[in-house]
Amino acid sequence: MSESRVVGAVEIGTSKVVVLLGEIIGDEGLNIIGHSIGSSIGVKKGVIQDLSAASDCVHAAIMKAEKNAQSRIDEVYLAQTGSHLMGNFNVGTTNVSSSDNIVRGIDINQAKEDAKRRKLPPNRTYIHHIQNPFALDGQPVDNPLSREGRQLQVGYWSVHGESAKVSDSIRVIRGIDLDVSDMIISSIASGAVLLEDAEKDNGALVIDIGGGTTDYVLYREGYIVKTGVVPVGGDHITNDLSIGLRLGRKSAEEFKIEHGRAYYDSADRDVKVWLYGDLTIGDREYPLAAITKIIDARVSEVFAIIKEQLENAELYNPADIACGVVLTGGSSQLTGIEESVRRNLGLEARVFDGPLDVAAELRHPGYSTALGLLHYALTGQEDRQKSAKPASILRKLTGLLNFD
Amino acid sequence: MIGRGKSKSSSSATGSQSWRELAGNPKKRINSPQAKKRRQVKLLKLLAAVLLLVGLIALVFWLSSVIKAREEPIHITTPSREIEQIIFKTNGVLPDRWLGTVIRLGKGTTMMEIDIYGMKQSLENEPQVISAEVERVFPSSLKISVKERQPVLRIAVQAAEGKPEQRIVARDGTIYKGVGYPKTALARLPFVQPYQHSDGSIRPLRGIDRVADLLTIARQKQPDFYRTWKVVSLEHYSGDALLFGEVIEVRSSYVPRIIFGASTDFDLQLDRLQVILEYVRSLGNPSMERIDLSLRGSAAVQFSSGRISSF
Repeated sequence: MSESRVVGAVEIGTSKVVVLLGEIIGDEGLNIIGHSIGSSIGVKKGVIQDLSAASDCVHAAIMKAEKNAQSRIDEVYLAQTGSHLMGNFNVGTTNVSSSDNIVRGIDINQAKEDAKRRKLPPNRTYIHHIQNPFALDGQPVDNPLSREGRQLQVGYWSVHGESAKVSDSIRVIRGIDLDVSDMIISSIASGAVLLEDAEKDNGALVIDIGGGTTDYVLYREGYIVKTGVVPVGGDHITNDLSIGLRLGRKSAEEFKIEHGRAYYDSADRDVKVWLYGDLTIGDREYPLAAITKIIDARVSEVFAIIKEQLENAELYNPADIACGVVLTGGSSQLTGIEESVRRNLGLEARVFDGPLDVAAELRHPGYSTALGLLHYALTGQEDRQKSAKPASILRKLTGLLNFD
Repeated sequence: MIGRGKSKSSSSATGSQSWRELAGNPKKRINSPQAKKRRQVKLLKLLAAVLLLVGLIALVFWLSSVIKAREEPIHITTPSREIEQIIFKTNGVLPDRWLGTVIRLGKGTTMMEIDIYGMKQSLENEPQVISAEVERVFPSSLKISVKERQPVLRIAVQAAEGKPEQRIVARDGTIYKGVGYPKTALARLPFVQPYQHSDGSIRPLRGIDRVADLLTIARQKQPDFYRTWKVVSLEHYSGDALLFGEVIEVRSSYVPRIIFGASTDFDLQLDRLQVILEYVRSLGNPSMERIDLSLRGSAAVQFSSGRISSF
């Protein structure tokens, strides 16, 4: 009989908390058995500012999802975002140890360890060590084992964040007596479900535009070569509209969804739109150009920052990003966002339309990160098996009686 | 697609300076109302689980004790026929009517209703019976086999009204009333004396098997003379033949006292007796008082005239 476990995918975003519950039977299949979305309080730009308030809304969302699934979570996969996340590319080098210059397992491990050896400042902590291709005597190889060469190198894209902020996310989850089984940054989680293997091989850029942050991940030759977080998201667009048009936040948000477009077009000058459209008190006309210019400026800024970061890393080459940009996150629903990508990044773009093997209500860009977390829960990361904790006897007992 | 595709280049950080070290650091728990509620529900459910478990264990113990304590016989639901025939077998003389006095079967008693163990006990409680076997012979018969004690001697006892009554002594010393014996057969049995123990009660006698041996050999070797034996006195026989000086005294209508050594070979003693009787006959049958065969290597005859001859 296959043992099943219930995995909770938790994304604590700036504007919302997303919880998905997946039942994994053996290691073969996953059923999404429950979900919930709750408002997020106490989180700014993807970082928890008020632990108590954030805990309240995260715990409420978890309990709502558990109630929806009529099951209890065994382990949590947690998404991590925020501008405190940074990345370094480290190269590990080792000389092949055997006299016949044949690469052995010990050489590979030596190179890997060398790449991960770099010490961080005391207030920072590693979240991911993402392996890139090996190079044997400078020539890229997928698997160097038993190949002949003198020097073996391996690159690692290591993502790290501020210890206090990462710790806060973990404490929120532990506050409801759950353990964080794994932590995955939002862009990597999204990329896992958005892209096919072929797209990863040919090169693709995934941009997850959330409420407070925009996360991105760049794939080349099947490997993650760069991740980043831009502390600007959909909420900033709403805020800009609110200030620029002198509207309340709620009205600005509705205006953005109803009439907003990600790029400015000269034809917008001749078009006017009503704020509410029902001729009630306060309803008035606005030139569409005023709206699109404000949104264009903010969206263009986000893409410009991403482009600049890629250029600084010498990774911005449209030819190496053959599959273009895949957009996700709540703000990717903005009209004309693909055109804005074309104009600002010079790349083709498409908006994530959800995997076909999930329910229609989950095929929303807002769920892509949580779906990606479940993907990792099912496929596993390299070290998950090592770090997995055995279930306690008490938990097994209550589980047997279907009480937990 | 979820679960498909590779994640070859993604690796959660482990070891030094990884987020897992932060996860392992215990810090003050953040309590939210939802977390408290969840914890309480979990505690209640755990409590319920423990109580349920304890209840189940108690139920198992209770059931096992009930099953162990159950004394009701197993009810066999298969049809059981009435007893139509009782087959009675004995190696002795007990008649069929005697059986009716020991076991009483109600009319319509079925094969499975009777308590054959109890019946066997009742039969074996009868002093004339050594052992009994009771078995059901399906479909409707009951077979009863008994092994009886064989009479060796007669004994006269005092009944409640003070009148003497005749009892039988078996080889093992058991004294019983004796049912079914022909009067002629009983008349041939000598009486035994004394008939009471020193405390006045009538108890099974000791050492009767030795007496029985003497009587059997005598009956075989000298049947005519044996018929004159009337009384066997155990006055000087304690029941233990190996003790020194133990003698069995026989009183016959021909010789008042014939004394046999209890430990000496009865064949030899009876042969000597044969010789003595022939000698006495050759003398013209003078009256004798006593023949003592218990003497070592010889025998003595005391005639009524007072003369004593030894052989």
